[in-house]
Amino acid sequence: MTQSGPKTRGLRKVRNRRLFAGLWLLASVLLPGCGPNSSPHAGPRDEKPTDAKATADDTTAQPSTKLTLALNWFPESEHGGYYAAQVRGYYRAAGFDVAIQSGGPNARMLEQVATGRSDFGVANADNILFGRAQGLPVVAVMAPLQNSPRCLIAHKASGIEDFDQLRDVTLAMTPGAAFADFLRWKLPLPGVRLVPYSGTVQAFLLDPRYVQQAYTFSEPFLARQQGADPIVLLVSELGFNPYTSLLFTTENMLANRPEDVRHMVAATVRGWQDYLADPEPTNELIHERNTRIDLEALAFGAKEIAPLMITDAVSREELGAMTLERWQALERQLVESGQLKAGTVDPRQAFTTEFLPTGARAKDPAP
Amino acid sequence: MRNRLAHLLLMAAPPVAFFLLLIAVWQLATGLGHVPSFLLPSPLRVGQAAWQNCQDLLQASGLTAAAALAGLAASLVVGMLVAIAFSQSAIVRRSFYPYAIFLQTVPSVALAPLVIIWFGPGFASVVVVAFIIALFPIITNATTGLLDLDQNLVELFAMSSASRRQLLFKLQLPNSIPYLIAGAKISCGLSVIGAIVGEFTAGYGENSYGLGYLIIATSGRLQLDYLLAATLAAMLLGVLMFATVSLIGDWILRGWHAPGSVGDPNESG
Amino acid sequence: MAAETLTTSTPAPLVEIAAVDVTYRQGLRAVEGITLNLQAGEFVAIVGPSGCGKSTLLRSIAGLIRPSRGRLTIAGLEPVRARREATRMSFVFQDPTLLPWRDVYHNIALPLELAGESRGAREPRVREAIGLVGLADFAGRYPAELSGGMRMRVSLARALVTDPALLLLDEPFAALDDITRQTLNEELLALWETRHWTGVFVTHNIAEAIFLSQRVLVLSRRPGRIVADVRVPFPFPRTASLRCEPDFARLTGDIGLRLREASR
Repeated sequence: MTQSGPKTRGLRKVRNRRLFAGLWLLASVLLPGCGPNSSPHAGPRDEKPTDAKATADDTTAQPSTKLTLALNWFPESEHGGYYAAQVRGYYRAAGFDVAIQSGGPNARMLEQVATGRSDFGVANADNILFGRAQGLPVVAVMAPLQNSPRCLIAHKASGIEDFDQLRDVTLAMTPGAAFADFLRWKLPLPGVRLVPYSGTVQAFLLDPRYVQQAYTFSEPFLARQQGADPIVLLVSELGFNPYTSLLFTTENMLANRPEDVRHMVAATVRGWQDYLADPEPTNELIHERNTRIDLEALAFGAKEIAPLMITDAVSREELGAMTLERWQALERQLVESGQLKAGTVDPRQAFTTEFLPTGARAKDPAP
Repeated sequence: MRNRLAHLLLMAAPPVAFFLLLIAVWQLATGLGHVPSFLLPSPLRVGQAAWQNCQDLLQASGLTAAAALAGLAASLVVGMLVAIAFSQSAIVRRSFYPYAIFLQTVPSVALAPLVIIWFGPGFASVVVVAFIIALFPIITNATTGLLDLDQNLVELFAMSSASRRQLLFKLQLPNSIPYLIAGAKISCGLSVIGAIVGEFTAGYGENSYGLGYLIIATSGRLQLDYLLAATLAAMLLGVLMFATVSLIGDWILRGWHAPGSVGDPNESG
Repeated sequence: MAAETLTTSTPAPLVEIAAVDVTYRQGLRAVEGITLNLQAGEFVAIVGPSGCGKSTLLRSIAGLIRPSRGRLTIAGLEPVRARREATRMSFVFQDPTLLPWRDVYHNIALPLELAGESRGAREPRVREAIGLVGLADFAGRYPAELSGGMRMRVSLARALVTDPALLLLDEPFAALDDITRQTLNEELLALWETRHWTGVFVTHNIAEAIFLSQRVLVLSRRPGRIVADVRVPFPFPRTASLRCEPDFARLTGDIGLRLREASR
């Protein structure tokens, strides 16, 4: 052992090669041995056209027309009517083979429909207006939820009981969401730290001074399930009340396939009416498609959604109706809060009631 | 002086020409109506969106830049300290260096929510995410720089019976500077990405938001022209940081290496 | 085979090497059975075929390598200890080995810095060393701005700034052109003639070895052994014209033959 003394043994370069070889070997041995792909909390599964259950008697002899419906979020109670039409076979009876495509936080349903990758989609009225402002030729054809379930939830212990009392809290809302920018415009929000909405209630549960966006029939229940005591602030009480969970499609579809649109709308209306009456079978399908949400939560959702759908203004027969006045009010609010430039969108073009079943159509005198 | 300017222009000409060509092709494709504007807006519209929202863009860029710079600075300091620890003890190095490499592959998008839980929403969290992503190139480069020593220099120090401390401060640390600069060049881009990813999950304050927020908001509202403008702003930020780091690096190394000389880590061969 | 060049009563040699082997880590023996004594003030050159271990031997004297067998002492102590306590030693590498981030002044000051000398104490010595190698006008320049020859001068100045008693040089001028080499040889010699350090100079170049030293050792092929210990009779001070003298040429040829034999 003579090469050099301790000082001069030399500070050699890090010898990585053997290390890397070892790590690589380890990885290639361990990884294939990993467990099966399905985990207890598998996410939503999209439907293939042949998945749809048909429980109604299906006597159509014609071949089914394949249609795609793109959702705006993971399957939840807000999509109850669509899944109901699936479960009850209303779509099938109309001659359609409808594939319902799950959405999520990054759902691009407007572009999907506009480019023809999907035939129909689900969105809120503000999405439709934003889309049209950017030149997407999308049109809403029915509105199941007359009143918006959009709300904020806070911890009861925080003492907040009203929007004016929102101060010195963390407020989680989706950046750029119409209601979010509306609230920021309308309310002073002193000392409020805005953070992007995380998509879950986890952060809410951890912090007593955390306020986040929610839907009345969803997050409050989930939070209570986990032991929290939330209070609900309904955004529509501030006057911001866009139609929610709308069925929409393109101008092209309206012009070239009006009968398909009519039948689709009719089947969907029936589906929603059915969901109000008997949500259980539909909820089972929704749970199957989105295992993240349990049947209890879905049952709660179905119950809470009813008052949003059938109101003093709109009866069960009129389900799906829309008025120009509501659309104009929304456009005005978006312009006032700086989210739309005045004159870029004509509310008249954003929706049509032509394809609604007679009962609903009567609601809105011809524009 | 004139020669230098001419030289600079000559060097800049090819990439600038290519850029203009790209813009022209882009404008042509979108202008002729082949591509709907909601899928790809024309450069003109992007420019318009940038102009109309320039105040918001500048403010957001400033915040993102601040977070990225803070994250980069932290990564330089911590990275260097870790590298020094690695260089002084072979056992420490062999135990922890593999983790330094391994942790590099953790996706930042998964990391950010964890950081928010520990540090709370706000500027600090964004800086931490930027710091984590920028850290590892610094550690690996600085460690190499501290250990990649000219054997003769080590012997020279041995001849003077230099202590470990003297070796570290007078030989290893100065030797590592070019490597550190090379690492900083890599990390400055990463710190911008980290800041933006952090902003996807954290916010800043009452009414301030960074480019990450703008990107999500404009995307949600389908304002593709504004979205592209924000994305370009982020790219520009990265480029500016890189240019700054390069300039500072060149200034530090100004007397140090003749171009193409042995020992310059930026030269091949 | 050792040969005493001074036969009158002499003080203890500064460097004593007795039956030293130096083995590489792989088990390869670099030098074998080296027995050699160097008096203080002697200037010795070592020549030998490539790979014969002359650099290794030099590094053993410097204490950078430990012999695997035998005894090697400087002033009676192990080289590492001697270097720390007894004898100021400097090593001049084949490569100038300058710190690229320091200018000429601070490169030369390095050994004094490492020894803990204060800035005030360093200054005059550094200035003197710079003057010795004729680089006074370049004190603020960086190595990247200097030619190969100038860099070697800085390396020399750095070796001399500590006023060493033992100077070890490992083919320092090998990479330089002939003219520069000869000039530097003359300058080195002039410095030695004033300072009289003990010098060990390893080289490939026989003429250089003869010109500089009083004694030329010839090493065999690996494992290197001393196969010749030739006295260089030319008196000091020596000038450039020495290279033209026939005796010089004869000695060069002589040693050249021995070298050729040693290479077989």
